[in-house]
Amino acid sequence: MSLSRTDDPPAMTDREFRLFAELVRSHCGLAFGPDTRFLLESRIARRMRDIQISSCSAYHYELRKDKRRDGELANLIDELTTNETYFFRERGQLRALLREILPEALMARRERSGGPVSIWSAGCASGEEPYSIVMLAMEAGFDPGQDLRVYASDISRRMLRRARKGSYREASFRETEPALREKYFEEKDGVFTISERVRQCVDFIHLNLMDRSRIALLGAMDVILCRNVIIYFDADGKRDVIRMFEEKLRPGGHLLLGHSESLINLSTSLELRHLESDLVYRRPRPGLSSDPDPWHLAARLAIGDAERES
Amino acid sequence: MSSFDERDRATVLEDLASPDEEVRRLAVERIEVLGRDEVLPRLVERLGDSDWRVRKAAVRRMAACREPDLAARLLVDALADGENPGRRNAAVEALVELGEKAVDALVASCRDADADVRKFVVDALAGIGSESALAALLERLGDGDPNVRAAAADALGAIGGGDARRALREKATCIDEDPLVRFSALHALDTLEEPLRADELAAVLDDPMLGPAGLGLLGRCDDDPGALEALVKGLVSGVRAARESAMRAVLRLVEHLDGAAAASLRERLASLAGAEPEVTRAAIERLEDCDLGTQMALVQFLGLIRSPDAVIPVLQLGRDEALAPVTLGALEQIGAAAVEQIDAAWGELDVGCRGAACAVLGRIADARSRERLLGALDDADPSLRAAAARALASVGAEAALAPLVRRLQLMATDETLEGDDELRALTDAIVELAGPDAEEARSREAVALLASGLADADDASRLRGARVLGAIARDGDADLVTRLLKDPSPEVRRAAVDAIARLASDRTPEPLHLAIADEAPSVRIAAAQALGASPSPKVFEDLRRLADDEDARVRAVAVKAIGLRFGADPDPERRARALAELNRACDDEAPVALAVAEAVLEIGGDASAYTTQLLARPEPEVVLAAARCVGSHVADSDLEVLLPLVSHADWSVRAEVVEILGERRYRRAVPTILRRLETEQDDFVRSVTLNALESLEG
Repeated sequence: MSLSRTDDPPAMTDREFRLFAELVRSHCGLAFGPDTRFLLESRIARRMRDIQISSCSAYHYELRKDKRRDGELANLIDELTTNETYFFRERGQLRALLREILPEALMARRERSGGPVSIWSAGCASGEEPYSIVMLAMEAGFDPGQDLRVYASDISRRMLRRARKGSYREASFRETEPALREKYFEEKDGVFTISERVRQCVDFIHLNLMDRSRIALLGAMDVILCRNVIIYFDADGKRDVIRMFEEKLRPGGHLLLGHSESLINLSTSLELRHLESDLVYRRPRPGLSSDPDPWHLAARLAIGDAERES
Repeated sequence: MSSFDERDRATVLEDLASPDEEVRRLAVERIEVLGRDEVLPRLVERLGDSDWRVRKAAVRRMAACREPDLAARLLVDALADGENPGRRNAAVEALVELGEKAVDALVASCRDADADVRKFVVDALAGIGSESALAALLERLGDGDPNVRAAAADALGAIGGGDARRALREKATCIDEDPLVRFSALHALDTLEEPLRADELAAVLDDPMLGPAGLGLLGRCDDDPGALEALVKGLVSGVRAARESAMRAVLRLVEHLDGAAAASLRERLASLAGAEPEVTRAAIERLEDCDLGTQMALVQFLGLIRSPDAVIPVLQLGRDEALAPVTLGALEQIGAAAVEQIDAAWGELDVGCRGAACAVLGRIADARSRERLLGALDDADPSLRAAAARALASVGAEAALAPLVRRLQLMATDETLEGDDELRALTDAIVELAGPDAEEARSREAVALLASGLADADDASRLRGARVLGAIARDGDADLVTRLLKDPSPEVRRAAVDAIARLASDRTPEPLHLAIADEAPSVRIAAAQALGASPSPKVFEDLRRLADDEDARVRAVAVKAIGLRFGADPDPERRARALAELNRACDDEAPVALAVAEAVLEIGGDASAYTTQLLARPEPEVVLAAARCVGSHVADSDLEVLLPLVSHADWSVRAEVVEILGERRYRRAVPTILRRLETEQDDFVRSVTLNALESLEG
């Protein structure tokens, strides 16, 4: 998820701007300041034109009375959170996920109760990120049906419709090798549609990261990717979301943020972990103070298997 | 002493010494409660505060104080505080803010024994820029300390005048003077746009440090052949700073020259670039790694010398929004050669570059550009199609109108940002080519093309067509637009109502009757808006009908239209009926009550009495709008109704009401406002309150 491009700005007083900014902030955490004021104003102007409201006060009332948060407020959020992203963005991080985090998490899952590794793409926009994970997992020899379960959420209903549809244009493939696009997409009239076997591996859900009751619908996660989302939140909003992620992660679970994002001044509960190709955050495991040695872990798993067989 | 009591004075003194910087800042804002003799010394003390916000507040207060002479003297004394640079800088800032009122005190200190003080005094005079300091500054140009002399040169650059120019020229060209002072003098002369001839600057141009600054000055000398020769020499210099300064100067020179002379200079520079390819190569190479200002100058220079090699690098630079207009101008100057380069590289350009190229092709608009743009209009990428549509608007209707309409009709329903952008671009381009400012024949052609595509199109396509028709249709097209009112899609009908409202025809109110009874609220809202904009008094009954609509949004638009159109009608009967409607609507749902307040705010008069009842509504939006009405239209004696709202639960209402009371100078509000200030937690409301108190006390 990211803030969308701009449109013509309306005349809005400082007070009206603050009223709208506070309302949006309290609903979904998106913070608007002087630098992004133009964006909020222009999107509000567009919505006001669409629903034929001519005064900011009347529109503010329209948003405020939307108690279920699925009417005009959702329409405005759709306008504010449209996105430009692409497949295999920040590939080094995805490599770390596939080569280091996923094998380790899979072994840990097998060691305990079994079942697939749960991955949540929080703020998935039009779906490029979760589909990238599934494609890379397939390429690495994992069986997405067995080894991992990918959940993807976004607050924008419009983005989720696009994600579910899985149709993309050239601009989404700026970091994609032609061979991969050929293998996993079908092209028609310049539109590339993701293959059904990849599409089936992602569960989409409409989720506001500030809405604790809806988030409870998701179980515990082994990996959460929330890249280039919290940059649009203010410090309090970031803290709330990170706290929720901490609770949602299993012990030993990983949080992957965008490269320009960090937890400095936000949280000390997650530890920074140096992987071969990236830095990620991890929820500490009780009793384990240092990184588990993957060879050690594999040996323990093998011994466990042998004991069970005997 | 103001009407505040001694307790307030003690609180302010205590707060000024608080360890919390926000408390100290707010104390500075309230410092007027102290005795007259105490205010300025306390403010000077706060100029040295460790927090910049407190210093800033103290600067503002000092600048606005009622004893500027005393303030200036104290501030000049503060310049001597070598221990606290924050205080010194804040004192300079406050002196500049004081402006002309500080000049006497500053001039009196120009000969201070301390060179640092003299320099800060000169800096403050530079910030003020007063001619009355001229003599003192000219004297400082001969100061024993080079830093003071350099500061004096800068200050003279801010003031100007014949004496200043003469003295600066002398300093700039004096080879025995300190280089720093000479550099400041050259810079000052540049600020003053003083033209200097090449022979006068000979010693400067040969100096490796001062040379680039000297070349810059030659750009203002459009009648000196020596200047041009020196600049040409500068352009092929091995020193980058000199080359770039010469480029800037050449650009300035071209700007100043008249048509023929400018063209001749352009030719000469183009030949120079041909003979010395290193000039172009170095400029292109530098494009990537310099600051924005230099990038702009380089791009303009490359356009000036019409370098074909620069076309693609400049085009790529144009993806940066800040550089886009300059790159576009430069490529337009390169002209046909730019089109050739773009055409040849088209296959290798990415989508962003192709989009930027479309804008260039639209500007040049030759046959080859047109062909490329028409091709781009059918590209698979919607963002490129949008760029092509925008560019085609400037190519001319004959070639572009039909392809643009065809593209609009072919547009897929695409729920993407790019899709929105393409639709906007196509619509704007067609309206530009066939809208109200275009020839009537073009409009007829576009209307015919659009109408022919409506019959078999899907809902989304008809809506797109109807919206464009609405924007370009003329009186003769009223039947076609009216037919759209029968469209099955409510959105198309809404677009038709908007179009009918735009057409200035006597027939317009009649078709709107259909829209008033439409089953879709969006169509009825559009009808109410259209009726509100109609000059006919007959629309009153229709608006009244809509004021009883089942949908609150429709009622709100109708009530507001009734208020604005008829609330101050000269016809007493119609006015009374309109006011009765407004009064009735005060008890309606919030959007309708809000519409009443918004209408009354504009019309005032008898209706203002109704808005008092709205102050008790539970919705803050309505209360705020009603408070504005009361503040704008009721007599002072009736402002008391606003006092309870000073403690309203919603911050926006509190801020608005306090501001109104301050603006209206309603002194009876002071005790209520002060009581509220003690518990007010919202910073913004606190600041509005302090300003209001200042107005009320002042």
